Amino acid sequence: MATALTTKGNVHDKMNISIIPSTHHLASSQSSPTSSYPEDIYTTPSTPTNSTPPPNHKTITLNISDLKGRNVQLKISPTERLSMLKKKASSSLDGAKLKNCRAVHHSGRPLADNLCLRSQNIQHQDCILLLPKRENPRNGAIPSYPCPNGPNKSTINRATKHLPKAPLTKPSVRVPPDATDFFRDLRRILLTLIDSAYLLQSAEQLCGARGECYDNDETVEEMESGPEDELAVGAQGYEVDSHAVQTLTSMGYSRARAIHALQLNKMEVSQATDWLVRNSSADIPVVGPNPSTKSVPNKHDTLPSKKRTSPTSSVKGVKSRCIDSQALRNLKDMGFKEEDIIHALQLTGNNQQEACEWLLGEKTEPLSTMRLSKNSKLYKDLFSDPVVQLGLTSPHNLQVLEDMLRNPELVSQYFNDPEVGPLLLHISQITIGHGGRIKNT
Amino acid sequence: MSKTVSSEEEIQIGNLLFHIFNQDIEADVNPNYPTTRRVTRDYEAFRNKLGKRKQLNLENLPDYISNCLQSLPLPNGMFPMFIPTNNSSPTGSGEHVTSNDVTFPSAPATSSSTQQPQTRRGLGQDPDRVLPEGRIGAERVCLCVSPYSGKHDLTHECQLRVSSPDTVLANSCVFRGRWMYEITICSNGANLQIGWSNADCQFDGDTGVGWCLDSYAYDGHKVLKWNASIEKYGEEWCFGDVIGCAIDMDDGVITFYRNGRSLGDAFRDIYRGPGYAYFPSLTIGKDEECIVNFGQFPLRYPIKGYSPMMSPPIGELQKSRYLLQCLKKLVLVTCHARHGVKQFLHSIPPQKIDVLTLIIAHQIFEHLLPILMKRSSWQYVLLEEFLPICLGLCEGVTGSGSKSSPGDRSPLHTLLDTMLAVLQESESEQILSETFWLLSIVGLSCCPLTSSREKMSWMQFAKKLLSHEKTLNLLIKSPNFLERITYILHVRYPSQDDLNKALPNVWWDRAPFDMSDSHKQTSKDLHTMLRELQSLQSDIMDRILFGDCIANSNNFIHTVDDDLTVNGNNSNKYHFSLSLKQLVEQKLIRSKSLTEGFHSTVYSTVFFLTSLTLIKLLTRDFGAYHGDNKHSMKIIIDGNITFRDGNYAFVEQARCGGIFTFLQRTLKQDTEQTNNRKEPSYPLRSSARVKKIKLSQDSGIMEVDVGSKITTTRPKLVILPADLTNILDSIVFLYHSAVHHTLSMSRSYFSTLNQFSKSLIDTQSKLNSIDTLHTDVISELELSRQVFEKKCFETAQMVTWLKGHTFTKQNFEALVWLFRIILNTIEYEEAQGQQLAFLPEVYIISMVHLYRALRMYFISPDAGVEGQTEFTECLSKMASLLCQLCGDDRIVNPDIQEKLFEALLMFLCFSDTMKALETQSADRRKTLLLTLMSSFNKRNCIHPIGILVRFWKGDGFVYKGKQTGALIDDAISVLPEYEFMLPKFQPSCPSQLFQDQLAQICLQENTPRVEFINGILNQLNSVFSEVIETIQELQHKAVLLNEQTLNPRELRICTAYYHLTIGLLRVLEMLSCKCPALFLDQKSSIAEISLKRLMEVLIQVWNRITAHQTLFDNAIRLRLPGVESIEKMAVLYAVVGVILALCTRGSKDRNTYAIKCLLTAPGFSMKSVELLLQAAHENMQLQTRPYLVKIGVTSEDELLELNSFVSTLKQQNSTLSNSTEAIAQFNEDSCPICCANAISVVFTPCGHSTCKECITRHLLNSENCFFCNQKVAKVQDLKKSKH
Repeated sequence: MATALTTKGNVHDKMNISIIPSTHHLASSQSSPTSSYPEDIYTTPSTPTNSTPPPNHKTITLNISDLKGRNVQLKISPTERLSMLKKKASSSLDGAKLKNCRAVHHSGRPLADNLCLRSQNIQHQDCILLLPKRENPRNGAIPSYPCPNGPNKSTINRATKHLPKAPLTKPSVRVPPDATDFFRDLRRILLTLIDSAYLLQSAEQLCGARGECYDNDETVEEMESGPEDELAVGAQGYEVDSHAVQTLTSMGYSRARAIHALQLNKMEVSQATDWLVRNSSADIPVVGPNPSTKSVPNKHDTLPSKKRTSPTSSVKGVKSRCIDSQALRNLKDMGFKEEDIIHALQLTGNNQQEACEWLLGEKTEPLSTMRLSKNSKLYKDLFSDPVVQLGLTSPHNLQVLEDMLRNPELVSQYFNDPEVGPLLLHISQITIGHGGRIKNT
Repeated sequence: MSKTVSSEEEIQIGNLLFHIFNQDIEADVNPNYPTTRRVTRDYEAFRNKLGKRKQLNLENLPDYISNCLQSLPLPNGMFPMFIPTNNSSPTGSGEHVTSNDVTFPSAPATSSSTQQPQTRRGLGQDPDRVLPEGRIGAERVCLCVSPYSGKHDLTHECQLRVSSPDTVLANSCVFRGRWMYEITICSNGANLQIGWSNADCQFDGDTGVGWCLDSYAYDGHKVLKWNASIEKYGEEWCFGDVIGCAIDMDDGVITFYRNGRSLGDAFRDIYRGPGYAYFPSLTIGKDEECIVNFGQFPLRYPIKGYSPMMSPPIGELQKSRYLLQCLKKLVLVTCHARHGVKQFLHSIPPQKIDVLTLIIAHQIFEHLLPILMKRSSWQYVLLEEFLPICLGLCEGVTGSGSKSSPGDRSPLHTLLDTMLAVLQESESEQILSETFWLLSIVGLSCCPLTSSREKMSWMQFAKKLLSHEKTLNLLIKSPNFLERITYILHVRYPSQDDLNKALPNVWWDRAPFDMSDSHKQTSKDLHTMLRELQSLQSDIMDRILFGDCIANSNNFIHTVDDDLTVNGNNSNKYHFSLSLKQLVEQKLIRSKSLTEGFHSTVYSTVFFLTSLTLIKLLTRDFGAYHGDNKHSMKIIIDGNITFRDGNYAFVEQARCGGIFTFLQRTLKQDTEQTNNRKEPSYPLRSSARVKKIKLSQDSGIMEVDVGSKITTTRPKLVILPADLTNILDSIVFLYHSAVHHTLSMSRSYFSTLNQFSKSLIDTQSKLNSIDTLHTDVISELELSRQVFEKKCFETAQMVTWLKGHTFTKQNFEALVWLFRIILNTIEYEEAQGQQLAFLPEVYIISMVHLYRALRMYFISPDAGVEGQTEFTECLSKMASLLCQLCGDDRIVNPDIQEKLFEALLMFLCFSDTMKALETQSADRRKTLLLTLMSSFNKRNCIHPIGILVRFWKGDGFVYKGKQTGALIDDAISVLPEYEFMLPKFQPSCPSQLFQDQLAQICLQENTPRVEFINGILNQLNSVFSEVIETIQELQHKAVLLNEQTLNPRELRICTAYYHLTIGLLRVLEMLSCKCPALFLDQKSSIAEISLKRLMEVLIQVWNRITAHQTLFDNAIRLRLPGVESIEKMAVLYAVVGVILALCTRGSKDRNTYAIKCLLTAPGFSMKSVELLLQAAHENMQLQTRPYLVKIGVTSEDELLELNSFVSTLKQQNSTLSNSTEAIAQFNEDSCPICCANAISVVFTPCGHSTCKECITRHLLNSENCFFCNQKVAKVQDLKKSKH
């Protein structure tokens, strides 16, 4: 028998070998030793249901149970489909209700109706359990999520009508008292930032004067790699060309005046000469920083000035840097005090006309409004931000900020700049949300 | 037919039932429990309790079980009540305490009758139902259809993702009491406002929650609160955060919570009263995704005093808890029985136990299923009851004593088996996928830093769940499977809060305090924890991808579709490849915004896990076969499957040769020819020896020996089956669209730390040295010091985390592996001829990106490039590809070409990669050099200049600086993509080999040389003119108009051009040094013209720069932002370099010739020479000025050389000036172009005439007549024609 099995087995797919009942199990069944399987298990035409299988077929015995605990033993050929087995079982087990059953192997494996027993690995003396099919399974489709609607307005009104009226009156529009937006307050923010940046960077100068704060550490070198000495050179920010100075001194002007003129006129010799001619009587420290506090602008003297600049004067220096010297001169000619003029020009963004009006009118806006209060939330937010703080240490950024203060039209341009743009964007992001209105864009 | 159960069996079964259904007995089965006497007694007691039937047999078992369930003391008519014993449940809300410990009540409990929801089942769906607690709405709270767009896109019942910006409200509102709901953010959260709004609020596409007065919102991206106006509020949220939105309608306060921590009262005194009731509402932008929990499942962070919008289904919970406990006990008993510990079932045959189990389980599920499938409560029950039970069953059977047999399965698997047997497929699928979804949410919101145990236990559970084959098969086909598994696997980046908790002590280089020891310990712990997590992750992934090909002989269940698996269409890999492709397509290609921010880290997780698993599999399969893992290094992505197949999903992707349809049309014949060859099709197939190896049923990997007869160096390539190829292809896309960004983002933390720690030190040193007088300065400094310190600390925490999580050795290996595959693929495709055009551009970009990532992002000691032989191999391969592909006309997209040049440039900045390039074959190098030479006339030549300069840098005059000093790199840094400055600071590594080869080409190849020289001189001319022009404009504006409003962009362009000028000069210097014959060959007229032109340009540059009090000096002195790096010495030295090379290096004759040419060049003045010398001396003295380091400093030798040259020059000049011929007067015979020489040639056909020199120059750039623009056919020499 064994040989017959193996030779037959080879004809079939190898998969099926393991499914063939073992001889041990077969011993108990009453099948004849000469048995064979039908050629193809999948295409077996279903044998007539009521006729018993031919006696020379091997049969296996299965225990069929239903949920009521009823139990029946069936002998069946392993080549039969499962549906056949179910039919048989239902005839034995009070079948009316078993029509809609699905079969489960005792190991828990669900069984398919249309496959034969052997291909589902059902073996002799296995138990098969018949479970009723539930009528309305959700068909395995992706469940849709029906969404009940919300309550309508009238229900809400009905439900809430007994509520006490809130103690508050409903405001028509709630606008925070100190509505701020970046562009309006730009001036104040810029001034505050510039002040702080200047202080921070003047520290470098103050330390540099001592000449001992840097060792030759590589990191320091890298950090310093920008043109730091410009601050030391002067608040006007220009290195002074020694040849130009020579030219002017040779014309008979004093060295200090020549330097000053050059500084005012951005190193343009002809203009400096013009200036010297026009302002022959003017004192040197007319405008802006006191040149005496600046380093001697000798190009060969590369070390920063050893002279100690007092911090207050340096701050004042930076303030006056941001104002239009021409407007200052003009207004000064009109007889206003320099301090007032500077203030007015700062307030009005270097608009000479408006500054003049302000000077003539009542000086309503106090100086303190020029800057953010150190206690304001915006000030704290701005200055506790590491990106802003880092930005303040760069001379380049300081220059940009001053540029913007001098000429607010530049703001949008600098916003698109890949270098300072991110910093400005960052600042503007910090400033929004400090009471700003939503823009309807 | 029925069979009576023997009395022994009867007792045992009864005992089992007693055990299962009696709540006194703990779920864990004590194997020593049933002593016979006790069993009998318990059984008797139980029988007495039931009290009815005398007989117990298999036949009346179901009735019996029903009886058991029904006859226990039951409140509410059906089920037992439980008395809560403690209220420490972690997930239960404050009000409704639930508990896992239950006691069996001695008497029917009457205390809790507060659950109306269950009693009003009929009213549950009524949307206008008013609850006395203060809520109006249906029983089930969920998101409503948007009133504006009329739709909502839910990927899951609670998961929202919209296609266009929209505002969605819940279907329920509150008017009294204190309520809350939770939102889990599953995207970047950049366009998300959550809060409450009134029914009166009108929303449209532009307005959202918070825009009108009666709506209140929090936006954690902009860190704002919205209520008609905006104000700062709260913290920045990130991916995976759970935001609680609480409203107190009694006091009128709205508060938001982030991960359970209050952000403070956002709004007070919100308007209340008749007509006012607030809906939970959220405004969500495109590509954003979030999960909304109104109480459908337990709140993650319940707030005391606030109720979820939906109250927990207490009745269902109690019922299900009891039933699930019974089920658990049943499963445990069955498990023990299977393992031979039969306890009270010792005399029942195993099959009968199985049947018994199924019958009992069926009974239990009959009662359980309605609860589990009930829409309004199933999520709650599943998460609160089902998941813990499953989790409890995760452990293997304890106390079984025997060693686990192969068929050993954990009780969880028995439970799943039973469930799958008893329930119909659709039912179990729904329950399982819902459970899986819930699991993914819980897994997502766990931060591994602070709750690593929790995260790990969820992952363990997922692992067990997925190692159950049938369950995995069900789940893997479910929609969004990949996303859910990712949420479970994803190790969320910690928030600042988590970092503070987990890493209170960090330390960084240059920190102002020394904590390195404790820091080391902390980071070691962190790394151990992460390793553990990562091994779990990879286990799960392994299981998903290759679970079905790891020995499945002993499986408990043989799936019916086993034979389908063999075909490969139904394997897990196949499904995985589908869902990966879907993910890549939907989330990464279609919506680019998702790839930014923290969200992309999720996709990195997928990427790394998938690649690592693939590596493991391939190494294993190949390693097992070949005994080494070398072969897995020869994998390619088969273009015939992925690139050329029209069915492939990424058809719309850009290909190297253009769009796909175009390629299909133009290369039709070629493609067909390739495809008609039998699979696998290779161009060299006819002569190649093709070897197929079927390694295993599933991996089916093929090894192909490509063209071994043609070239012996060509490696064996490995072709993977289609599903693996698809996965690999998706991985490449994944890398390109998400991972690279994540890596660079993560890397940026390192540079941030560096930057801020420098600033910190700097500020500190200033503080130390400043005079105490300057109080205002000190206070500013102190403030910034504090800010810097905080920032440093926070960044250092993140860096510590990243070192352990992202920049690991494992990830590095995964990247190298992918790099290699991409290189193999491109190399293979490159050999395919025209078929290269089908290669997606992504591959080339990814190659470049991967190189950058490996080179620059992984620089930690344990995961770095150094000494990686594999990586070195890759480099040489990449070098050869770069040589070939740069300028390859099969690649049509100029951006890609740009990228390739950029990559090449970066290649040259490192000495090892320079070597890799040098080891390429001479042909390849020549190809490259010719490409570079020809590019001067074509496109933007920044990169070719940079590349040529790199060959030279380090060998030039005052160009030897070891540390820094590539000014050409400054020009390139203007390009925005050049985000990393590392290559710029690499020491110079000049390549003699390339210099020599370039010289050789210049000598041999006539046409390219002429074009090359002409191109360089043209470029130099135009570029320098541009610089001077901009500087003039700058000067004009700054001085005369007194405004400094120059466009910063223009200034930067000016700087870039300035550096280009230097670059071009340096290239000329290289040419003059290496190949002086180009200019000094006195026999060649072209050389003569070139020399004249060269000298002219040099003198121009020289004069403009050195001239005193000219605009150049002054413009530099203005120190305008943007042009700081313009420095006159840099360009002067370059000029001097060229001149010295030509005038001093050759034979005496030659030198004299060159000098003469220099001296006679128009515009030459001795004054410039003197000024140059002066400047050089000044520069020598100014070496101490730190910023000059950048430019490079003259050495003594170089200065001497210059000195001696200048004196020679003076001497020559004086001799020359003595013999100066009178300059020819302009007359009719003079050339109309130069007005210097006599007319010597005439053109045909137009008949215009000039001197020979002028027209030769002109014709280099144009083929038309200078005057009439007519094509010049021939230039005739007048003298010759006269003769």
